[in-house]
This record gives sequence, C-alpha cells and structure tokens, in this order.
Amino acid sequence: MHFKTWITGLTLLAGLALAAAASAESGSTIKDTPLKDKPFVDARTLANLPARTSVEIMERKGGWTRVKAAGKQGWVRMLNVRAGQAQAGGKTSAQDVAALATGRSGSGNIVATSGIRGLSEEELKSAKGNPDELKKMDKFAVTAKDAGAYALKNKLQRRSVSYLPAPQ
Amino acid sequence: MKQLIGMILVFFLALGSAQAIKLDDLKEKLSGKTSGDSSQPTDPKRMLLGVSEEDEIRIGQEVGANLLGASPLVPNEALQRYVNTVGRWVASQSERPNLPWHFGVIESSDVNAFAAPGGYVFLTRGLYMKLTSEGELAGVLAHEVGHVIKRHHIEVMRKGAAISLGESYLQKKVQDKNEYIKNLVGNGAEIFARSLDKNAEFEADRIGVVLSARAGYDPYSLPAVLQKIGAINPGDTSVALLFKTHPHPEERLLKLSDAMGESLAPYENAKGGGKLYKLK
Repeated sequence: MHFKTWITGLTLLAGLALAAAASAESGSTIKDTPLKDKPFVDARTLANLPARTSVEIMERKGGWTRVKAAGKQGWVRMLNVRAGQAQAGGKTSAQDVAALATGRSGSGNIVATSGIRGLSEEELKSAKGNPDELKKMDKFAVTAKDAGAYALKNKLQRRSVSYLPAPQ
Repeated sequence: MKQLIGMILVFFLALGSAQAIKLDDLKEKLSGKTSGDSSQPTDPKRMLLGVSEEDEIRIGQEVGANLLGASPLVPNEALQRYVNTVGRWVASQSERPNLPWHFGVIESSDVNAFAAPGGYVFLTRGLYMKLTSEGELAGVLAHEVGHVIKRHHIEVMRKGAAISLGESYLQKKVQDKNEYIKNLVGNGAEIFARSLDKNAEFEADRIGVVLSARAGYDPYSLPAVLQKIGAINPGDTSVALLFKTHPHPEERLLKLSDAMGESLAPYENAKGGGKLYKLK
C-alpha cells in the first residue's frame, strides 16, 4: 500500500517535470537586444540583454518571444534569440521530450508506432516513378478561385508587400 | 487584317524576349563556343536557355513522380486538400500564380520539404507534425514556392548536366527535347539530395516571409519553424538530409533578421487564417 502510493507520487512528479520541460525551453540571445515590457518596438525597456544571455523561452507572438531572463520577464525580438541551445551537462531538453512523445529515440530513424521511415540519399537516387501517386495530386489540386474563397472565409487579407533585397 | 495584327504582335513579342536574353549570349550559345565569360554561369537567362515553362512543368512531373516513388502521399484526402488550399493561396501572391500548383504531404519521418520545378511542392509528415499553426504551414510552403518561381532547381540541374556532359554536347541535345529533359532530371529524385546555392536558400526565405505577409499571415511564422528545426539535435537522423543540403537554420535566421529588420513588423499581428488541420 505504502509502496503503491510512493510509486504513484513518483510517477506524478516525473510527469510534472516533463510538463515543465515542455512548456519552457532554454535558449539564448544571439545579439544585444532590449527586453521589453510588451511586444511592441516602442514599449518600455526593462533591461538590455547582451548577446549570449541565457533565457527561458515562454511563448511567441508575432515577431516577439516572451522570455524570462536576468530575473525579469518580458519580450525580445524573436529573431534575436535562439531556442534549444544544447547545454553541456546533458539536461533533458524540450526537444528530447518531444522526441519521446513522437516515438523517435534520436539514434534510429524508425518511428515505432507507424513504421514510416526517413528519406536517404540513396533512396532518392534510386527512386522509380510512381505515376499513380502523381495523378492523385491532380485530384487534390485546388483552383486559385477556391483558395481565394477559403482566404475570404478565414479573413486572410491580401496585402501589398515588396520583396526584400538581399542584405549587403 | 486580324491575322496581320496578330503576326505583328508575335513579331514584337519575339523581339522583346530576344532583347531580354542578351544577344551576345544567344550568339555564343548557338555557336556552342564558351568565351571567357564562363565566370558567370549563374546568370539565370543564360542558364535557362532552352528550358521553357512547359519543360519546367514536365521536369516537375517527372521528378515529383520519382519522389513519390520513394515516399508516397499520406493517404488522407482532407489533409491533402487542406495543404493545397493554403499552398495555392500563398502561390497566388507570387508573380507566377498560374503555374499548375500542386502540394502534397508525403510519408516520411524526415523533417524536410521539396520544391520540384513547375509548381510541385512536397513536405514530409515529419515536418508537418512540427507545425503548430496554419501560418507556419503557409511559411514553409511559401519558402518552397520561392524556389519554384525563381527556378532554383532548374539552374542546379543545368549546372549538373553541363558539368557531366559538357556544355556543347548539351546544346546539341536541345534539339532533342526528351533526351535533354532526361539529362536534366538525372536519376530518380537525386536533385533533392543535392544542395542549392546558399544564396538561393536565403532568397527563398526572404520570398517566404514576404509571400506569407502578402497572403495575410504572420511573416514571422517561417522563422518560427526555422527556430524549431534549429533546436533539433543535429545528430537526429530526421534532419540529416535537410542539414546536409541547407545552411544551418541559425545562419538562415541571421540572414533573415538582417533582411527583414523592422520592415515586416506592421504585419506581425495577423489574426486571419484557419485552424491547422490536425494530423494524427
């Protein structure tokens, strides 16, 4: 009886630990970046984080990522942080948890539950045409008109945006 | 009279396109000579001589069928229609909206996406499972649409065929279209095991965020996917091919950051879009 309770408690703890690891991911800043009160350029700056500051990543909203850093919580420009930085010391990271959840162990390429494999270079080179599958694609194709109707229904507004030149 | 106007029109159109391709290049191509100008093999007009849009589509169908021979479509019509709907909407924002756009999710645990010429775009089940919003799907597809509209793979195919067969041999082969296309495609879907030029990947990323914004999605969705991919352990076999054929996501994110600056910030709080189709 006591033993059972103990096991249940342990299982619960392990579950909580996994959940915590999945919701907050470790990361770091890749360049100097201000920590903002709100996800706006003109929001109040709480701190200036130098490059390579360790952060805890909470969520993303548009071009902003909410992080915990230096004892504060705020928003940084999403492109100025990187997620899942491999920390020395073998801590369980969020992607390991995700890998467990999808049945991928990391070393093997086989997903245990479905038997679906990856694509190797050799397989690509030796691939033989499958015209029947290609015909199926014709069946699934969507006209520009139908795509436009979907966009309208889902409030996707067409916007005029210029292409970005390559950075110098 | 109508016929005459038509003929004049055709004449001027022909004149226009001949001017677009540098006349000198054309002469050089036709004579089969290669001058000291070979230092610019990436000039798209030069590279594309002899590959029409019709050829592009044929090549895409061939390469696409071969890829499907290695990994068939996920047998889920609702999923495939959904991905085609989002993909077609994104492609409609490009300068080549009328290509025969086809999108497909293929059975592979790898995390990857492929753009075959002429408008055939594929992403793996492994990548689809990493996505958490329709905007992210749109971003991934928009990157691939970028490769298609810029004919990046055609360019790599031409370079590859030119190296293995010799440029002048290729020029003769232009006469025999079937043979020429066979040479360009090569074996199976090997084109997807080869890397594009790094700059082609950066360009497709820049196009990807812009097409996303034009389509009404959050342009930061593509970088969000890149961040997720960057967080995958490089030793994981699911990203082996992707990491081998692409610059590391971190390098791509840095380039995107430089290119985007704050210019797409006005579109980042996009609210539109449907729910991502849930694939089990």
